[in-house]
Amino acid sequence: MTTNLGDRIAGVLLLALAVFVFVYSFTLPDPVQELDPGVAAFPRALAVVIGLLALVPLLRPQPGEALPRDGNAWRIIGTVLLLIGYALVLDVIGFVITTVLFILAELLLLGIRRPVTLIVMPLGVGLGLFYLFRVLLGVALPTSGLGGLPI
Amino acid sequence: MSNWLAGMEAVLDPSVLILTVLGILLGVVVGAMPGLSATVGIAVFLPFTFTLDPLPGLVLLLGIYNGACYAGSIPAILLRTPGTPASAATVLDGYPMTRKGQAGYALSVSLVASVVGGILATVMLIVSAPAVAEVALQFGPAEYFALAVLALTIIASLGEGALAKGVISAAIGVLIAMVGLDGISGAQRFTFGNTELSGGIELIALLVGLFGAAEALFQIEHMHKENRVSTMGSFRLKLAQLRYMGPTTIGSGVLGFFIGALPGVGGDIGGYVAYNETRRFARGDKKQFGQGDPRGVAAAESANNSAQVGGLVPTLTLGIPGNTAAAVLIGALLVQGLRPGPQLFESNPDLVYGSFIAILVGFVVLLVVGAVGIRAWAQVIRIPPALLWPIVLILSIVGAYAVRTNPFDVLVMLVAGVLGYFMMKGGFPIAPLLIGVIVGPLAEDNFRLAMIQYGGSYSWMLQPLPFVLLALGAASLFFSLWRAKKGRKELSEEVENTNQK
Repeated sequence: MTTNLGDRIAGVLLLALAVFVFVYSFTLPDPVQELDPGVAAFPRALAVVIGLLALVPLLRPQPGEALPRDGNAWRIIGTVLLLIGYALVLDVIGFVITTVLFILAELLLLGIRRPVTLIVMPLGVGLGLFYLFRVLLGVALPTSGLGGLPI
Repeated sequence: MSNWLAGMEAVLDPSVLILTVLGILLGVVVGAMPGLSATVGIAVFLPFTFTLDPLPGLVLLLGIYNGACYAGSIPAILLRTPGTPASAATVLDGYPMTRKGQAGYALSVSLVASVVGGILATVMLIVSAPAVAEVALQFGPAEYFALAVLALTIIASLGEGALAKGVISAAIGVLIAMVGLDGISGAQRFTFGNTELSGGIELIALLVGLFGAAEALFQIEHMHKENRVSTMGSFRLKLAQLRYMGPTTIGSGVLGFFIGALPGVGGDIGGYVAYNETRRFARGDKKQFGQGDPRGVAAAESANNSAQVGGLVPTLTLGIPGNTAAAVLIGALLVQGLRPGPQLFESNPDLVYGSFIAILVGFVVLLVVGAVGIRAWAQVIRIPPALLWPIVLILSIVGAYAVRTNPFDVLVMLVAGVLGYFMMKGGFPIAPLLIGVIVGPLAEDNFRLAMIQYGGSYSWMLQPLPFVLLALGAASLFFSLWRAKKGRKELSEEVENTNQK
């Protein structure tokens, strides 16, 4: 299913962005050097470009892809919510626990029901990546420090 | 010569050799998975290189860069779904060959053509890049401004989607790059008193979100059923078959390199152009094209791999991304504190010449692993997407978080991911935005420096090289407008024809 509502919404948002950037550019300081066009010149020019071109999708909207519905929509919304949750708790409970919980929830969300997969995948990814990054490569990943565990 | 010795010495380090091979292997897996393009693959594997030395990290990513470009042909041939955009033209003759029961033949042609095209292009890269870098040392603000504008106009006008949306996407990228401190006067822009923003938007977080997380969201929505592999037929290439595809492979390889060397033009366009030229100049029966002619597969695959390598010319010598995946490579080098450009050839010859040698070695490795494992690689497309995309999401988070151990960057990555998802849904191409973020500051700073240098006059735009580059940029915009108009006309004629029937 397609709709051209998306182009209209995008047009309105882009027009709003252009107006905002244009107005905002007048609050920027004047150039220090006399001949420098200054920090406001480019934002202002871009605002004009975006504002004018925003009229194209606004006035001549093309059919785009419709937003997902029902199950598909929930998969997307659920994934984004899980990602937000991940970002919030990562520094608190550490990489391994957060990742195991995230992969488990995401697999359930995507319709995986095989018990073996639901156990092996989260643990494998969480511990595997932690070992690879933190131990082998020395990339800083947060740990939980719960009960003195090194993960 | 001493540069080559330094490069050779650097490549002979065991860890570099191992990562060269590993990169190719990862690249083949990445390319064979529909949805995982070279760009997404490199973005996702970025965090693995943060703590590595520059050369080992770069050869790993270059392996993915070239391996994925080849392997995109596997699902293109078997499923009619290009694994990466670069293999879009491969579908035209590759899939018909599969339907004729010649999947194995098509896969072998694709492998040989990719390797031949890639090696040809690497030789051309090795010959031309040091010379271009030498010339580029003389470039001033006027030249760099014009180059940046050319890259932006080409990516906005030649990419998929409508011209207006491409230009908007590029402009937003340039705006995003403005957040933080101004490079010339030190003034704060778009920071709104937020200390996190005053350091600017972290490039890695942004690109991992735009290409890793956004693609994952998009694929999670479009999740399809498990892919089945049809009958393969023989993989063996006879001498006569090699001779049949030979001229096409070499011609397309040379052509692809020059197309790919244009800033912002990638393997997808290289593949299409070479395919069309091959069909136009083909000897003998042209009706076979589109019906499963191996020359079509050879043309597309030789050209896309050589265009991919050609894209490294502007990337390394000028710091102007040759294509989207190369833009991510620039991000990887910046993390290492290295700025691609002509100075890199003088300051880090071991890195530059070492990576040239590693690319050559990589194509030899690709030929071997491709030939040995050709049946196994065809099975990669059966990896269930439900298992793959959660891992891509985790790696996106790791990439954003670990680049400077900052949870704020994870937030940036998330916002970029959701933005990228909606852009894909709305037909706004993402590539111009990324190119805009990278060349935006180049364009702005050099424009202002040129104005200062020329006493506030615009006369510098009429200097020979800047003028030619800016004219080329304008031409690409007009070409795109013309193409769109022609397309609309053909469409309306088609509608009329069907109405008359």
